[in-house]
Amino acid sequence: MRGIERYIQDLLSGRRPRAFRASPDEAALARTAVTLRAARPGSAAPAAEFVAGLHERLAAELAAAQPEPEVPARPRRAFMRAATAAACAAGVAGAAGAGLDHLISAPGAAPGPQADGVIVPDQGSWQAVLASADLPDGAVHPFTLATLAGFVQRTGGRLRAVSGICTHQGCRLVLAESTAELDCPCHGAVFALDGAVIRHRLSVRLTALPRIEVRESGGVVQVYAPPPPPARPAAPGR
Amino acid sequence: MRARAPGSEEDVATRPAKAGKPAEARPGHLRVVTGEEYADWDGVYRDNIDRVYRLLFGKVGNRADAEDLTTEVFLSALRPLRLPASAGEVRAYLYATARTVLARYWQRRLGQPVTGLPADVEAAGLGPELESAAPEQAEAILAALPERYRRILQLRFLDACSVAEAAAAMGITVANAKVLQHRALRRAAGLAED
Repeated sequence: MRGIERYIQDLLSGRRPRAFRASPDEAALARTAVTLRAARPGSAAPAAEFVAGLHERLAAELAAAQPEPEVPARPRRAFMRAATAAACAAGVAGAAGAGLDHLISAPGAAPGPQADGVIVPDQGSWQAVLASADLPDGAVHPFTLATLAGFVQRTGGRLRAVSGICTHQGCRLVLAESTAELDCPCHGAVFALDGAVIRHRLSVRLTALPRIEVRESGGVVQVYAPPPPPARPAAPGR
Repeated sequence: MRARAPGSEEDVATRPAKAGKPAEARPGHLRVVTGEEYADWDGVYRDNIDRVYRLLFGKVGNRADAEDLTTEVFLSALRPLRLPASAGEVRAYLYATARTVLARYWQRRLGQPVTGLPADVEAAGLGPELESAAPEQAEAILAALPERYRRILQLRFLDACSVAEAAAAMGITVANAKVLQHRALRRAAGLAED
């Protein structure tokens, strides 16, 4: 088998591609193959065991003088890998496949919010959403401002806020108390409290909920949000 | 929730410096936010392992090499790193290291610069919310192809189908699927379809 064919076969099989001396044309083929393969849904995140293993190795090599660091937390995007296995089956099942819809449906459209994005408005200010005392550890609370709606939560002493708007078509998410998940009333998409997509039945790729800056000041939980629209002045002559 | 380095604060720590409005608009805050700075290697690692890996995976397309290159980046970058340092400086340094490591990799592997990282960090998107550009690039590549070419590449590269599965999905023979894939990839790469 020619080097480039074996290279592409290795790439498709998830093996480490073997070395060969490529011509410029073969390099162009390899580049295209790498780009397509790297776009396979759910495959771009590092494996949790790799993240933990490299951390250990670095700790051993670097940190003799430092206190023992904790084991790294589960990577945020680990959930995405679960979605990969059935991908081919879906493609074979008939339709062009969910991935294809996503890839070609709207080439000119503006991209949706980036997964894991943070909402940082051009003109923003810290706005109170509730009293610190009303958000004990472990609590989740919806909030609605004139310009933003979301959920604030306190977990392990840390504050977090995510958007409360489904990234599919903009429906308001509902907190499911029993499962501590955010449910979309429109098409049943489910998000985790950290914004990650847990599951959905849509034929498009959903992005995670954007996060919102949150802090605590003077006994009040505040989020960083755009200013409310100016009050409409009373129409003259009425 | 992610573990965080001591002294950094959830999410605020990873906000881009250029979008520094919350920091400016934070009079009388209660917690000390050293968000734009890494105090130790552990903080550098936790905050950047994911983005460095994704950056490199997008350029090599396989897990084994992405893991090796990521390891090489952190092993060679962390030791000489003088901390504390600002997040922006550290990331620019990690990026430059990744760039060198990637160039060496392709030289060894195929003897050609197959993929590279642009010198301009901003252009490469090594911002705090880095996502691999591969999905958008793949989208552009596929969108420019005739339907059957697009379909075979979609099935094989993105949907993880075997040749046999892809052939069955398209209602063609395995031999035809192989030929189709070969031609489609050549067209996608901008080469004549021999």
